[in-house]
Amino acid sequence: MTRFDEALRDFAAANEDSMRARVGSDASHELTLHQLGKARKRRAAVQATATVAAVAIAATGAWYLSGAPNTADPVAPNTVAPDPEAPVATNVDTIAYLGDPLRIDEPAFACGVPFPLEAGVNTTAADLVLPSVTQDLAYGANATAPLDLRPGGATVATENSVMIEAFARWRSDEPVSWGTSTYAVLVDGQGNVVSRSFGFYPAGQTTAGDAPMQYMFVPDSCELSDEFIVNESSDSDALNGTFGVHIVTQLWLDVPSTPVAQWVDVGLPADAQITIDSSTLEAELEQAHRTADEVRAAAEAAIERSGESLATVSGPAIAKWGWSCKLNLDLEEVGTGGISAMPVDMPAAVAILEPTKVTWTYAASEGAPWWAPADMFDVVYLDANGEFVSMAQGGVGERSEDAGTVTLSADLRTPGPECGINGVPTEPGTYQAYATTDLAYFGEGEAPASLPVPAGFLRVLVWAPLGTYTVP
Amino acid sequence: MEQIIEDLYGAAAGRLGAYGYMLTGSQAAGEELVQAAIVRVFVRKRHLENVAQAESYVRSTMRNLHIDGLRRERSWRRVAGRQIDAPVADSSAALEGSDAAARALAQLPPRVRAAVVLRYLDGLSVREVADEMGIGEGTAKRYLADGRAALGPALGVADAQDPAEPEPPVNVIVNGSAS
Repeated sequence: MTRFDEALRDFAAANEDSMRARVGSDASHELTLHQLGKARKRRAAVQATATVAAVAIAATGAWYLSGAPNTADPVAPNTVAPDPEAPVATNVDTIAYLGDPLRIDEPAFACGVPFPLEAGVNTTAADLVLPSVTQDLAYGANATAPLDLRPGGATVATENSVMIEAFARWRSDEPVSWGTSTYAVLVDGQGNVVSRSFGFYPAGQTTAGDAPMQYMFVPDSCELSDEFIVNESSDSDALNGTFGVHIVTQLWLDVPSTPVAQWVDVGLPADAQITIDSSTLEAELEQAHRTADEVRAAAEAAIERSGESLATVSGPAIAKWGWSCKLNLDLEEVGTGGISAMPVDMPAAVAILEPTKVTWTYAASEGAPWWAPADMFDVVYLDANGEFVSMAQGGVGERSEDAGTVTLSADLRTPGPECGINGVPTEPGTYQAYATTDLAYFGEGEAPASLPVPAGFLRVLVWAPLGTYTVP
Repeated sequence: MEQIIEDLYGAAAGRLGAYGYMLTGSQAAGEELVQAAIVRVFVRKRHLENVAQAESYVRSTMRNLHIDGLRRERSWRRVAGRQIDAPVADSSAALEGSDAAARALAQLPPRVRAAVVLRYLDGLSVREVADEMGIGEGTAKRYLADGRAALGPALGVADAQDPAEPEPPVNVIVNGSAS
């Protein structure tokens, strides 16, 4: 009888020829070399501006988290008014998948080609028929599933970012999985794509959904924007000028990769435009840097008051390593500074259960002005002098909530080889261990006293001492 | 270094592409993963002895990129506050081909698919799969069982079992706890 692993290897081998044709094609090869060239250029530029880039990561990452325009930005937002028209409603008796939904990475969105779609609903009721592969879902052939898309708005929060809100609303008799994807492009005066971005997609399983879609737009010339790697903006290819904005929104109901409907420019007025002036970006980064310095100073003061040693809790190198490995960035891309370490004042208890397993218990902070992705945390090990020794990367842990208390248990692993650092120390000795996680603070005027963060939003590194860790 | 990239394409494009396909469940996404890994590996100067070493490095980077991508996606989806135990929205292209195995692979939840590839293609132990993915060993076992159950029939394996593994030894002492 065929073993599962053998069958899987045979299946992988059977796909080698077709994948060789794809990966080894001239187009794919050239694209890779082009990306490699740009990455090398960016790396050289980033090495010269590493500190500024780190600040950008902190500020814009938190902007992304905040779900709101950058109120701390000194530049007043320009607002693109929502379309005053009534909701776009498509009554759907039956539902089908779009034949060929567009993807942002398809040639239709390539740099230099005209944006391919007209504004409006790209799917009509006549196009929607019941998918045969979802017979176990609540939809029946005669069920009515009204599918609306309410106009939202697009706000130009600064010269270099766009907040988009649109709402996909649908109903059915029983919960069905759903989700959305959003693409955005900038076009030049000739209607050709000059930049593009991919928004993240809320998803859920419910009988009705309102799905606001938000994402930022970094004005890199025809680069897919990664929400973290904002130092792309230091690339010399940054755009300047006035550009048209288009948005493509897709909705899937049960198969994530297969949208059932697609809308173009919903929520945007006709001829929506955005003006980008890269010179202002530098001023924004400088402002972000100043803000980060203030936060760091406040954090260090708080740490001093707490009696902790600054040398052991705020070393920039530690923040650098922790973040670089967590986000899978090159060390040089992160640099130092911009991300502050501070003690957390959540009611918390952290314990090492065994060498490679940690639990973290804290009170659920409902309504608190911060958000802690506490299913991801790392452990940093320092020597007796407070010098960094090693870091173990915590995985996505087992999470449980009971009466407002969150308990998290995660295994530790050695970071990937590209991080160049070890995991749990194995050399004999006694180490000081700290659990770390990142915390996004996005409140305004409501910070608890324990979080000496100015109004606005920033990401900070949170520390919790674990005690000593001894390897005999 | 440029020559070794050329040699890598000539010798290993198919294997790396297939590996990317298995990790992502999509030919397009698999191709992108290969590209991203090559860029990541060769963006800096590295001393790579030969193509085999380069292939190993790129393959390892593909795995790390993919796993970290899953991890990050999970984190950001939590920010969105809209996730209610729904399937992860796979950004891969529409299903490649029509055969049952390809369809089953594409429809696996991404984390389950990654666990299956690490365990049965890369030959990692369950413990190592858990370490690589940053998950508990129990979770890894569940992912693998789910993956075998979903893929086994499509691959023509009627009863896909996984041999039990011994627990690794614990050889260090931990003192101190709580804050």
